[in-house]
Formats: sequence, structure tokens, C-alpha cells
Amino acid sequence: MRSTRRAQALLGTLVDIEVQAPAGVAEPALALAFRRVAEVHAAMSFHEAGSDLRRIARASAGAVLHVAPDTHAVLALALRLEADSDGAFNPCCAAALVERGLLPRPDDAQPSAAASLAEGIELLDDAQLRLRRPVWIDLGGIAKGHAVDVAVQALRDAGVEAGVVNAGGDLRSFGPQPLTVQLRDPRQPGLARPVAEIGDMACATSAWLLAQPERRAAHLVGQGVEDNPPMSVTVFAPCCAVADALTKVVWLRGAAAAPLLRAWQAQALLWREQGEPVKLF
Amino acid sequence: MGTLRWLPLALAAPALVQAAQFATLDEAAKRAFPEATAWRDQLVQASADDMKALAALGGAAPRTSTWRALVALKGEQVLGVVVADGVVGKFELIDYAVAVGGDGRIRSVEVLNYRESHGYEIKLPAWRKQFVGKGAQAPLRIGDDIANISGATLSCTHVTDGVRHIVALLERLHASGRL
Repeated sequence: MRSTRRAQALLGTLVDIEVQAPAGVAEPALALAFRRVAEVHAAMSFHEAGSDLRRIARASAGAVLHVAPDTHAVLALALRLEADSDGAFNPCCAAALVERGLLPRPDDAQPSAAASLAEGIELLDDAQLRLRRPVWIDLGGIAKGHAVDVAVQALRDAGVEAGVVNAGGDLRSFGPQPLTVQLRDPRQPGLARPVAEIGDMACATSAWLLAQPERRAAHLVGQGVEDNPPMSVTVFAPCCAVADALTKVVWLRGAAAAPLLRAWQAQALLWREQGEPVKLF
Repeated sequence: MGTLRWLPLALAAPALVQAAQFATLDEAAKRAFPEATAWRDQLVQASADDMKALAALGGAAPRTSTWRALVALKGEQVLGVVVADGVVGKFELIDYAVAVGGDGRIRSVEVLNYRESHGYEIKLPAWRKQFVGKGAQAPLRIGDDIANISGATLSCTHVTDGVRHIVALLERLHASGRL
């Protein structure tokens, strides 16, 4: 089968899609997949003033908003993960990230008053939600994974039977061909190690690199439990949004996250500052 | 249901360069303007004033004041322009093509070539040496698959800056009748 590969700059990274399909199937499928990724990007970017998340940040308590079905689906998953992880997965960290200069300050927004997603919003039917309290939501820990999932769905809907979607390390493979996943060694970023072979499976990594100590997990908000902090967390799960979100939970909870991983049919590889990588499942 | 098989943790293998060639400018242009019937190969040039205006937009400064472009035509009508640009980030070297319609809106931003490093490697002679003599006929095949690497920390900020600059430049060229 012919292999076709294409990349676009989306989601703040390089989105790389490879498909095994005849040219007549591959071209329209790739076009559709990239369009879907761009839609997810537009709906769930905190940077763009017109995004759903910024509209939510501008809204007052009690307001009912209509959002993109993608946003609604990701918020529903985020609410479940937030509850299941006792708040370790926290999509209400936008205010903290703004303070750290990682997100732009939305001057048009109400100050965030919700400490958790469940405190901030209530999901309604028909892609609507009601605001309980003003809330700044950052879906940076899950939306990229969701974008990978919708790209895979788009490719399948268009008749592609096998391929890989990789958005800067959040990746998912589908089809009969196994994929060897290599993981960058956080201590020696020039090196990569093969860690697993996957089929119809997603994988996501959160990491900081020894070569850039100043970036030490600056994107993660919350108090970890470990003296020996993680350097790199990789989660394998059936869908990429779940893998993406669970990397943050494993980062903060360490081995205590194992039951949650099992509940979501996920497994993890945790590299700490000292010692060899540890598998969690 | 998916499968996951852990591999024995082998010694790390060098992945010094993740490189990939995705497309040529011609291919990207045809995908952006499938309705085009003819193409005009043209250089897009920024004057000193244009460069000042682009710098005022912020972001990484353009590396050049001249870009290769393909103008998409349908008969006499100009459908739009596809401009090839390259950016050097802290971690990556990216060539990309931005397609802009006659209405000034972006049709697509497609990555043509990509090479990744971790910044410090770019400065090493051994790292740079591997590119010597590699042209289109001898595409890089070293670690040819970023499709299976996780843990990459790649930012496309420079592509975003570059796209913004090119869109602004095309607007200025249109407005002053230079394109």
C-alpha cells in the first residue's frame, strides 16, 4: 500500500500525518483530517480571542453558551478526568499559567473565580453549557490529544485503514501495522529509546529536558508528592485525549496514579531525575 | 481493541536528527489552489520600508527580504500566491509554504521540509556536517521518522511569526500595486 505523509503547523506544533492508502483516498482524507485539527485548534485555543474558551472566560455566572461540539466533548471528558483524579487533572489552571507568562492575559475576561472545572461549568445538551462561576479554562493538557483523535476519526471516515497522526509527540496509530514508539531520553535529549510497540493505540508525553532546566515542567500546575520529581511521563491509552490528560496526573501523583490508569485502560512510563524508567499499570 | 507491547529498555540510540521531506513547493501550491490552470514563478521582494513594517509586527525577524513564490492563475485571473519560507527555531529548521488567496486570507500552511535538533547540536560541526552535500537528490534519511517519536518539545512559534510577516507583506505589495 502506498504511504503518504503530510505536515502542517497547527496546535502550536508540527502535526505530522502518515497514511497507507491509495492516492485517491489519501489526498481528500488528509485534507479533511487537517481541517478537523484546525477546527479543534480554533475552538480550544486560549490565545485566540474568538475561541470557545475565551468566550467562556468573558461570560458571567448564569450565562448559557453554545460551543463547538468538539469543545463540548473535551469538556465532558475533562470533567470526568478531573473527578476521577481528585483534581490532579485541572483544566482551570489558565489563571496560573497567565501569571507564569505561558498564556496571554485576556484583558476582556472576568477574573476567574472557579477552582475546578466542575465549579465553573455545567454541561447541557446540544453543545451548550451553563456558567456557574466565571472561569478561565485551559485545555492545553487534553485538546492536542483530542485533535489527534479527531484526525484519526476523519481519516477512517474517509476510508483510510492505517496510519499515524503525531502532534508533537502526542500520537496515535491505527490499522494492522504495529508502530514502534521511541521516546526521547530526557537526560540526553539527542537520544531516543524504543519503548513499546503499539497497534490501534495512542501515546502522549509530558517532559522537561535536563538541557533546559529553566523549563522544568513550567506548564504543570499543582503540588506533586515526590521528592524525586519526574522528568518525563509517557502514557499509552486507547485514545489520545485520555493519554494526554493522564500524563499530568501521573506527573503529580506518581505511583498513586496506577488505579486510575487501570480504570482508563492506560499504562505509563515514568522517568525520574534519579534511577531507571518505571512502568506503571 | 488496541495492543501495547513494552520493549526491553535497550540502550538509547542516537536520534540526533529527526528529518523529513514532506512536499515540494509545487505540490503544496497545487493542493492549495486545485482550481489553478497556470502558475507564474516569481520572486516576492520586500523593500527596506516593507522590512521595517514587518519588524514592527514583532516576532522573529525575517531571515530574508526575498522569497520564492508561485502565483496561481486561472486564465487571466490571479487566484492567489504561494510563498516558500524557511525558519530556524531553537530546536528546528522548517521550510514551509503559505498559500494566500486573492482575498488576503490564508488557504494553507504546509510544511515542506523539517529538521529537528536541540539547539546546541546545530552549533556542533559534526551535526552540521551531515547536511553537507545533501540536496534534493539525496534526501536526508537519518532517523527519517518523527512519526514515532514521543517526548518531542517542538514549537512552531517561528512558523507562526513567518506566516504573519508574509501575509502582511503580500497585503503591502497588493496595496501598492507591486504584485
